[in-house]
Amino acid sequence: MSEQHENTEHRVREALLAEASEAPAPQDLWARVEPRLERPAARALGWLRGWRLAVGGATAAVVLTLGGAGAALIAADQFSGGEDGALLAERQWRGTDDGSLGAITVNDTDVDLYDTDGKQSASADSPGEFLAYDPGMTGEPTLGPVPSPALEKPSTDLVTGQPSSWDPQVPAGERQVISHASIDLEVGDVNAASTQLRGLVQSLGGFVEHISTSGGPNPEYGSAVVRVPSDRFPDAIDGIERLGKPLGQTLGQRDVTGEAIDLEARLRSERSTEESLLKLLDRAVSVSDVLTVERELSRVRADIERLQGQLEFLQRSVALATITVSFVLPPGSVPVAPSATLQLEVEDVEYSADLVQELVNGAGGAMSRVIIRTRQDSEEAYLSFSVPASALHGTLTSIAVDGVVLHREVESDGRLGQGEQDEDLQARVTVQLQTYRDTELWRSIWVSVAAGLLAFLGVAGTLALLFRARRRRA
Amino acid sequence: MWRFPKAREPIALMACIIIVKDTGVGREDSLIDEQDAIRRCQIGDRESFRPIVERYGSVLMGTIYLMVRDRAISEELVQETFVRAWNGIATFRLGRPLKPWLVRIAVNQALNANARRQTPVEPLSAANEGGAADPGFGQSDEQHEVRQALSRLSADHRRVVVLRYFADLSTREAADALGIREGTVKSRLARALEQLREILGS
Repeated sequence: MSEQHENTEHRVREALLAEASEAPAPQDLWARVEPRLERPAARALGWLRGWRLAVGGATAAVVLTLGGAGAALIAADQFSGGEDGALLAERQWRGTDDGSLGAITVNDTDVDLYDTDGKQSASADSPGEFLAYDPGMTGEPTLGPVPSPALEKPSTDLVTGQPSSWDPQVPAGERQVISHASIDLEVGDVNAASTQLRGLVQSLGGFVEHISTSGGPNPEYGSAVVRVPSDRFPDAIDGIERLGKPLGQTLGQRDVTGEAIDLEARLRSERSTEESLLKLLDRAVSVSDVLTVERELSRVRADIERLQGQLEFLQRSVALATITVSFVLPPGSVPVAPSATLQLEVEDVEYSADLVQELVNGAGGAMSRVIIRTRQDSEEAYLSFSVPASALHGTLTSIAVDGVVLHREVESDGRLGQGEQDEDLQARVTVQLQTYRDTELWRSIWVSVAAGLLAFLGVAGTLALLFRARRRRA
Repeated sequence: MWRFPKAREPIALMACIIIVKDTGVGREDSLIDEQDAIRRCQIGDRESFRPIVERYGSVLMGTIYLMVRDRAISEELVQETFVRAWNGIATFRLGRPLKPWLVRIAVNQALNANARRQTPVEPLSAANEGGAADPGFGQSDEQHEVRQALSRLSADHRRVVVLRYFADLSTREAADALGIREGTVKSRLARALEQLREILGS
């Protein structure tokens, strides 16, 4: 059975072989197959899948991330370096009186440029404040160094005017106190308020030391310094506060009792010296003695006059309180000169700065300052100028076209272009120009991409070499 | 596409090669060459595919011809088989025998072709009955008898017989190639042989 079985199998094999030999494989099978095989590149792509693709992809991702991050760090470093970079140059122009620009200063720092301006304007705007804050700076004859007791010892009570208990020698009624006050008032009409103030002060037995208004026939601002007898000081303050809406006030009192006593003592001593000298002069025999004594006498008399003057001034100050009054119109009632700030990113800072100047001149404005700063990899320009308020928006828009607006701020009372007097208003504009940060950002992005790509190629090449080497070994 | 164990294969293969070389197992030389050729093919070396085509061309051609029974079609299909093998060789798992894998592709080609032609695979018997086949062409009568008997087998049985006795696959490999269970292969083989014996014995 088994033999027959094997026999059958054998016969089947032979028969199949014989049948298959009717159709032998073509001799040129390889030649026919080869052109149909995929190119090696495509094959390599096919090879790059499964775990290889995963590992390769992960490697590429890591390398790209690291490369990108590194490059970004470098770029960021440059970026911040540019921010804090050394200031290479600064050119500065200031507007001259006739409105034209003249090159004036070349500076290597920028610390005090604006400060200076700011201080000047502050002192010019509010002289009264200085009076109120420090009466000693009003430009009156100096009292000399203030004796320390007046400063160091507790002052009298501002409300009651009673002396503190520190100096029992001086009776309460004899204390010498200088009173001063500063009052800001909002009034509907500055001229009317000034007139009222004058009448009030005169009715109290005082006088107007100084009065001024500014802003044309309908003044927007007024200030006055008035003196009233010390005993009418509280009445004066009450009366003045009724002239308008009080915005704020400062009250101050200075005890000068010690100073007065000191002055009187020195005066007494100088007078006794004078008497002694006069007696000496009577007894003098030689000419030289007479000359010597007279020289000494004249010095003492000068001292006496000076001390008397000081004492009189002190007594006058004590007798007459000083009140500084400022009048302002309610907010919104005065057309406020609009101001604007514009911050721009531009391609070429110097070119844009020139453009701004041309625009300002074209609009009938005047440049007041141009500062161009060159840093390591960026430029900045600060331009301040004034243009007629009516041309403000047009000018700003024209400037803004030149770059990317980072910040734009226009401050006005919202009545622009409505009144005729706008023609007279000059809007103050500050424009800051800086180099495109954007281009730097893009540059850093490109650097990152390129660095990542290079790193990737490097790693891929190394891997390929390793694979080749291993294949050869295998 | 993702098959985890593959990651270790190149190393495993290298280890195998070293072991085989060191222990001097000579019989495996051709196998080692073949595996090496496959590995080269996998990374795109077309020239390494040539020995594979040359070695297995006849077997695949015969297998296909025995199933399709048309020389022209078989020649076309065997080329197609190698092209597909090349395309799929990246997924071939190194260390396994190549022939069953190739035969499986070839069988698929043949089955597809038969399905496309939609003609019963009996042209040989019909031709033989018409006397077109030339029995005297170096073939004994007995061989002719067996061929006739084979042609009378059903397509399923004939396929199993071809894979087992011509392509020389094991029952397991044949089952793989045909996509059926090994038990089915065995039973079909037994029945086919029985049938053949009946025909030849009668």
